[in-house]
Amino acid sequence: MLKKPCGTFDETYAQDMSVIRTPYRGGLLILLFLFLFVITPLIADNYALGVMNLIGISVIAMMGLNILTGYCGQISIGHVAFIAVGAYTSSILSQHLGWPFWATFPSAILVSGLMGMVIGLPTLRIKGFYIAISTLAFHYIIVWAILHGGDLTKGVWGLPCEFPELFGISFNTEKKMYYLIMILAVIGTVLAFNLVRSKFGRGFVAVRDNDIAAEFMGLNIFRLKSIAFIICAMYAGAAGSLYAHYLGMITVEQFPLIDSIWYLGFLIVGGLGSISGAIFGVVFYRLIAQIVLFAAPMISEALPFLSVSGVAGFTQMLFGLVIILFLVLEPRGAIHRWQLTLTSFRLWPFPY
Amino acid sequence: MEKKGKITSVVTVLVLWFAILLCLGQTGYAGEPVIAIGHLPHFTGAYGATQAPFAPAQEDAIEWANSVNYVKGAKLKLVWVDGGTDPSKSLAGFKKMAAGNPAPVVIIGESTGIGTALVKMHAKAKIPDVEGGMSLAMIKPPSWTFVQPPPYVNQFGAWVDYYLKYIWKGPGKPKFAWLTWDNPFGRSPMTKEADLYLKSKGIEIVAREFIPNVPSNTIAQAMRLKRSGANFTFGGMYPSALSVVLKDMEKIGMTGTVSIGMSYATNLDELVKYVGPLANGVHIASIVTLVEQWPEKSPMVQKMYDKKKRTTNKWGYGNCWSKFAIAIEAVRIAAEKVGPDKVDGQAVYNALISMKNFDAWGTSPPVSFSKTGRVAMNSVEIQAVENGKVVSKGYADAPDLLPGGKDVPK
Repeated sequence: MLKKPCGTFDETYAQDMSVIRTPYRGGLLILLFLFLFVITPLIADNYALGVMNLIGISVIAMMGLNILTGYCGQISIGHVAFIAVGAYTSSILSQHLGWPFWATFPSAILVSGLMGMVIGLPTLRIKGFYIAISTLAFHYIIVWAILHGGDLTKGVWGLPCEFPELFGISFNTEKKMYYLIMILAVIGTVLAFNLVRSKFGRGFVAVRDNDIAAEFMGLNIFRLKSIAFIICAMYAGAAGSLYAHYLGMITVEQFPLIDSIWYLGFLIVGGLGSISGAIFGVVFYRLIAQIVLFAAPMISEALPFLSVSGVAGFTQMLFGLVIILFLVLEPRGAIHRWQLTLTSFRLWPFPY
Repeated sequence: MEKKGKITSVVTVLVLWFAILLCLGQTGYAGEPVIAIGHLPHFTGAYGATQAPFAPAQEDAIEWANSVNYVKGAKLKLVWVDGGTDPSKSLAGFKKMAAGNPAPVVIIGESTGIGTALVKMHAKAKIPDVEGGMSLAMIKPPSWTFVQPPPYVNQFGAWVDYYLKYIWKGPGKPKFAWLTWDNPFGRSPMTKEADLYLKSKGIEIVAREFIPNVPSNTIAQAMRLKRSGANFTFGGMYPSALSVVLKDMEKIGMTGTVSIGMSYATNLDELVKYVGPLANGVHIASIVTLVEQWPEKSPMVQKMYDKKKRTTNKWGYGNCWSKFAIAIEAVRIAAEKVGPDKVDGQAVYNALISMKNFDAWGTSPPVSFSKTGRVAMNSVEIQAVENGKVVSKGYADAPDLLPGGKDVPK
C-alpha cells in the first residue's frame, strides 16, 4: 500500500497496524468504494461490466500468486492449473451433485488448497528454478486428469456450470455478477493485505529475501513455503470457481499454460510483493487486452493495405513489449513508479 | 529549430490522416440498413497459423455478398475481434461486439474450447453462433450455437464405413488403431460410442498411438503401430505433425502398409507440400470442397480469390467462406421474413433452425439445422492423396455417433 508520508508519526502499536493511517488514505478508500459499488454499476454497460468482472476474477487469482511469488519468492508457472482445479471442482459439484454456489465455492477453495499442499511438499527438497518446473509438471498433470476424467470431467467436451444463486438471488446478469465478484475481490484483497502484515507475511518475506538466514532465525521455511502454496492455490481456486459460475461452461482449453506466464508477467509489471501492485498489474493486463481488441480491427479497417492477421499479431506484441519495457526501465513495477511520483508531489517544490 | 518544426508538422499531418481514416472506417452505408455479421477468429495464439487464411476470407465473403446484393435491401458489415486463442480475450471480444453499434445479428466462432465457453453467453445475448468448433455442450438446445463441422466422432464413422466399403479387401476383418494428436482436438473422436461402432463391425482396436503437439520423433509410435498389425487408423492432426509421422513411418518401411484416415482439419494440400509422395493414400473426412472444384462448385470463392490476388492457403480460405455462407444465408432468410431493417439475433436464429439442405455456396456438403439439430452436416467429402494430387472420392454419410445418437450400436 501507499507509504506513510513524512511527518506522520504513530504513537501506539494500534496506530502502526491500522490500515487507514492518514485522512488522505481514508478518502482514497471511500472514493474507491464509491467508484466500485456506486458509479461503475450506474454508468457501465454490459461490455464494461464484463471487463470489470474479468478484472475482479483475475485480481483474486493474482492475490494468491502475489503471496506465493511476490512475498514468498516461490515461482509458480502452474497457477492456471490451480484455477482449473477450482473451476472443475465447482462445475463437478454443481453439475453432478446439484450443489448450490454457497457450497461449491468454499469446496473449490478447499480442494484447490489441498492441491496446493500436495504441490508445496516438494519445497522441502527443492527450490528456485526447480520448484517452478514442478509447478509446470502440475499443470500438465491437471490437464491430463481433466482429459481422462471420463464422465466426471467430461473429458474434451467440457462441463456446464450453473449461474450462482445466493439467498434466492440468481446472479445471471453482468450487473448482478459484478457485485458478487467485486465483493469477493475486495474481501480477498483485504485478507491478503492483512495476511502480509501478519507474522506469516513477515515470514514469507524473510524466506524470499534469504531462506538460509530465515532458517537460522528459527523460521520453519518448509512450513512457510507450504502455507504460501496452500494460500496461493486457495485464491486460485476461488477465482476458478467464480470463473466457472460466471461463464456457465468450462473446458480444458480455457486453462492454457500461457495464462500462467501472463499472470507472472503482469505481476512483475504491477510490482512484485505489493498488494496494490498486483491489482495494478491485473488492471493493466486486462486494459491492454481491450486496447488490442479495439485496435486491430480499427487499424485494419483504416489501413486496408495491411494484412489483417499481421495487424492482429502486431498488436499482440504490445503485451510482450510492455513487460520488456518494465523489466528494463522499472523492474520494481508500476507501483514503485507511482510511489515515487506521489513522493515527489508531497515534497514539491523541493527536489528531495 | 526549423527541423523540429518540420518533424512536428509531418507528425501532425500523419495523425490527422490516421484520424480521418479511422472516422471514415466508422461511417455507415447511407440509405440502406446495415446488418453486422460478427467474426471471432484467432489470428494469434496457438490457432494463429491455421486461421490466418480466415482474414482475407472474412473480408471477401462479405464484399462478394454485398456486390451481388445477396441480402436485398441491406448492406452487410463485418465486425471482428481477434480472440487470440485465449478464452478471456475472446469473452471480452464477444462482449465488445455484442455491445457495438450496429451489434452483430450473428457471430461466427472458430474454436471448440472458446465456442463451448461462450455457449451460455450467446444464448443470453440472443446472438446465434455459427461455430467452426464442435462440442456436446454446443449442440444441446436451447443453445444458440450452430456448428458447421460434423462431430469428429461422426467423421470417424464416415471413414470407417468408407474404408470397409471401398478399401478393405479382406480376408476377415481389418484391425484398427488410433493415431492422433495428444490434445483435445485429437482425442475428441475417441469416445465410447466410437469403440462400440467398431465392435459392432467386428473390428478390433489394436493400438492407441498419441503424437505430441509438436513432434520431433515418432519412431516409437510408428514401431508400435507396425507391430500391432493395424490395417487402418483414424485421428486428428494438422499436416505439420502428420508429416513427421509419415517420414518416421518411411524410415521403418511402413509406407503404404496402413491406410491413414484423418478428420477434416488435416489440410492435404499442405501435407503434399511437406512430404510429397509419402502423403499418397492419406484420406480425410473433409467438410470443405476440394480446392480444384471451386471453379465448378464455388465460382464466387475462386473469383474473389483471383480478383484480390490472394496468396493465402486455399483450404483455410474456403473453410472460412463456408461458415460465412451459412451466416449470410441465415441473414438473407431473416431479412426476407421480417424485413431488412428488422433483422435481429432472434430472426437469424429462426432462420437458422429453418435452414434445409443449403449448399453453402458449394463450399461444403449440404447444411441443415432444426429446432433440435444443431450440426450443419450429416455427410462429409472423403478426400485422398493419389499420385501426389488431392482428389475427391465423393460424399459419404457421417453416422450419428454422439452419445444417444441414432447410429450408436445398442
